[in-house]
Amino acid sequence: MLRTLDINFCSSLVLRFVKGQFHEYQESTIGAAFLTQTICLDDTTVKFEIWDTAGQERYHSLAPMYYRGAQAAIVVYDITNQESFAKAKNWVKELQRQASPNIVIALAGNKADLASKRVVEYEEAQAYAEDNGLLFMETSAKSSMNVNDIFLAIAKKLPRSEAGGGPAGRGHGGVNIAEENPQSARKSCCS
Amino acid sequence: MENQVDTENGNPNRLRRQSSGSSFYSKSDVDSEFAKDLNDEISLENGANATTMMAPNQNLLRTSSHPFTTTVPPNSDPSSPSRNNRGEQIRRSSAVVTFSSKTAAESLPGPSTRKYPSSVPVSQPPPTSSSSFEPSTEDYNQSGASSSKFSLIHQGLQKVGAHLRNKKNVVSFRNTLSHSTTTSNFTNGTVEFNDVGNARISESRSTGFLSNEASSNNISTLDRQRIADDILNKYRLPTNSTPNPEILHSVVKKEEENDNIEKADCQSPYYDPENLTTCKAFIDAKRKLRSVLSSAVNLTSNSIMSNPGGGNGNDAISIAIFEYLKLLLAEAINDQDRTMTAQIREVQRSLSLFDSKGIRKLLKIMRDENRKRTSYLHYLQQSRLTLLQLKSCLRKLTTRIHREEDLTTECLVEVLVRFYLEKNEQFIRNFIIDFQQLHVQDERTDSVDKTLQKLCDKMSDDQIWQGAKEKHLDCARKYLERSLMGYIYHFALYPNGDADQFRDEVFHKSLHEIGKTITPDHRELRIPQKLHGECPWPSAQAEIAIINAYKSPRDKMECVLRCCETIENLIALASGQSASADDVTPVLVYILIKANPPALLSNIQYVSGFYGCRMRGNEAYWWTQFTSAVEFIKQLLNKHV
Repeated sequence: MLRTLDINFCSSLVLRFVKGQFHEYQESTIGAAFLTQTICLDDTTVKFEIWDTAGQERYHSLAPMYYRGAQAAIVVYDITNQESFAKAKNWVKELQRQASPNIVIALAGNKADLASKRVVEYEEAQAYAEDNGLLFMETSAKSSMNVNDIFLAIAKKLPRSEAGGGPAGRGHGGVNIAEENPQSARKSCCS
Repeated sequence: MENQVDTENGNPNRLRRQSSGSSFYSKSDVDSEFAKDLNDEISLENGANATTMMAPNQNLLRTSSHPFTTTVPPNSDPSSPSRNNRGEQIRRSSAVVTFSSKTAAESLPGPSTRKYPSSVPVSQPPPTSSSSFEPSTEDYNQSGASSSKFSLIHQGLQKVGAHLRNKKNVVSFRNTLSHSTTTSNFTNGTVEFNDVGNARISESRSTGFLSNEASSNNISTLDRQRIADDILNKYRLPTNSTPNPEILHSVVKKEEENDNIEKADCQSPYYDPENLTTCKAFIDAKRKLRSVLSSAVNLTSNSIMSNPGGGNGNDAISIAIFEYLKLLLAEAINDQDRTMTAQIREVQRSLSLFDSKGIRKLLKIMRDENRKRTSYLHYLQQSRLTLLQLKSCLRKLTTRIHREEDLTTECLVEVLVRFYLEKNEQFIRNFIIDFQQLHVQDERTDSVDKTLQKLCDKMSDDQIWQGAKEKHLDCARKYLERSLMGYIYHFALYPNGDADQFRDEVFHKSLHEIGKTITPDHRELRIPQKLHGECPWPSAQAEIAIINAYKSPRDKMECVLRCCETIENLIALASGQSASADDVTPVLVYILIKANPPALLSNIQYVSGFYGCRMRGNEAYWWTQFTSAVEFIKQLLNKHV
């Protein structure tokens, strides 16, 4: 089970993962706050329970309530926004300090489809991820590039539950954090 | 020869239609279209002798359609389907039932007269299909003689169908009928209708029967004589050993037909340029071409078929059709569709028999038939739509019934649980006393869980609960918990007694104060502008406001869940997007401040204490949302103070 902290961009990323689709102007009508998705990994199935949290800075203090007990986190930043990358680094720090010690943290550089507006270099992020022992991928919720892959990578890295990887246990251990766009929170969702 | 002249003129129906009596003309346009179509078919199949055959045939047709013309009132205005109309429709449609089921037996000799009475020289080709717009033409051919019995019924039904096209009740029912080719199907149809309808049917059935009898009086004495003779002939045959006359009849018919086919094959050539439209090759080619074209989903087919007059006359059309067939063939080969490939090749071969004039004629006839079928097609589409609506309506009703069933079961279980608890009164009393001695939350939770488990274990030994299903036991556990928590509610909700109540009171008052000034635009909330339309989300407020009405932690949890999901729904409604936490959190905060349910903090403590470790999936998520919203409110209050 994956409890995911999802801020901002994550909504579209997660929707892409769960629904397999990305609507540029309109998302699907179901709630995106809490989603589940089951994927098969070799002989086990992994059920993701993806939690969404309010991303605005004023709700930051509530974040620990969400990532407490999570098994994995995806920290998402916007490759066209340097500040979002800086904030992502802060989130990683906070998670490493406060979340469960076994948490799997993945760093996702979203909006990879907007390569022409790139300001955060791939190598820079890659180096940072390696230094901190994070999974790293550049993703695009729009083209669905790497979206499934990053969830799959997380599933592989999750510690198997004692009963041989059965999904029955109520294990937590994962958080997914996306960086907030300082200008306008909603619009930063990969539109 | 008269017939041949008619066909050459491309107008085989005129004479016949005039001779067929006034009953055809009294009907609607669509109806006469169908009637025309019928005549068309018959004339094509029966060939040169059709004219002589027509007299009894038409007569029968007319009589078979009589019950409808007499019982069915004139086509009422379809644009005003009032309640009155509805009743009438039911009556009408049941008249159809009666007719079909009665005459299925009575008019047995009918088709035989129509087909090949011994007095008529048999030189016509076999009846390949009885009705061209019958959806199950294939079945028709295969079922052979037995189907011919019903051909008249079908034709009658189709006419009535055209009459009643826009009438809902009939639509669905007629569909059943028009697709059924055997007696059993007819009976099924009747049964189904009985399910849907009610006592009215039986009443109207008699009407139909009477009118049917009345109509049979119209059969001329001559016809009657022939019919009687036919019946007698049937039963004089040596194969009489079969007890079921139905089967016997069909066997006889089959033999007769086979004979006819053989004779026809001997006497008329397969391809006959003199008798182009009636020769077997033509009919074969038409059928094959239709089957191939119907499976081709290509726009070019339309352009070719709808534009045959263009180009350089006959040659252009035949070239076009061959080109198109080649195209289809290439497609089929590409798709490795062997069945299709074989079929197209066969069509090409059949068509190659004809000259360009023949092909032109073939296409023209097919186009005409297609046009005639259009209205029927529309009608079928309409029927399907109606049926789908009916289906979804039925599904809804079924869901409702299941809900009610569940509810009733739960009520019953609740009563039984109450009996059970009365039996164990002493045990419960001890538990309540014990519980009050405990002060640490863990111990309290533990005590409740253990007691609940004990009660459940004992319950399965109880006589009443011996045969209970898992579902019922789950339900019983829920009620046990609810009752148990009801006994200790006050102590459990306020573990520290007055201190807790005082704290709740302060919080309640502060919320009340802040609620006076808070707006959706508050700088700490900043609820997105697009969501302001639903402010102040009264339905969500109503959900959370009654949290204190629930005593068990599970019920309180469900109450919170309902509140949050209402918010989620309203947000999705407002923005047309899925509700993300960015929207939900501020709205939830606003709603909590405005609804301001008493003892909010104690409730949270209570649910977390007694239910926290049982939360799963979205319960856990929404509970986190809820508690974090309350947490946020606390921060907000601190800032305000």
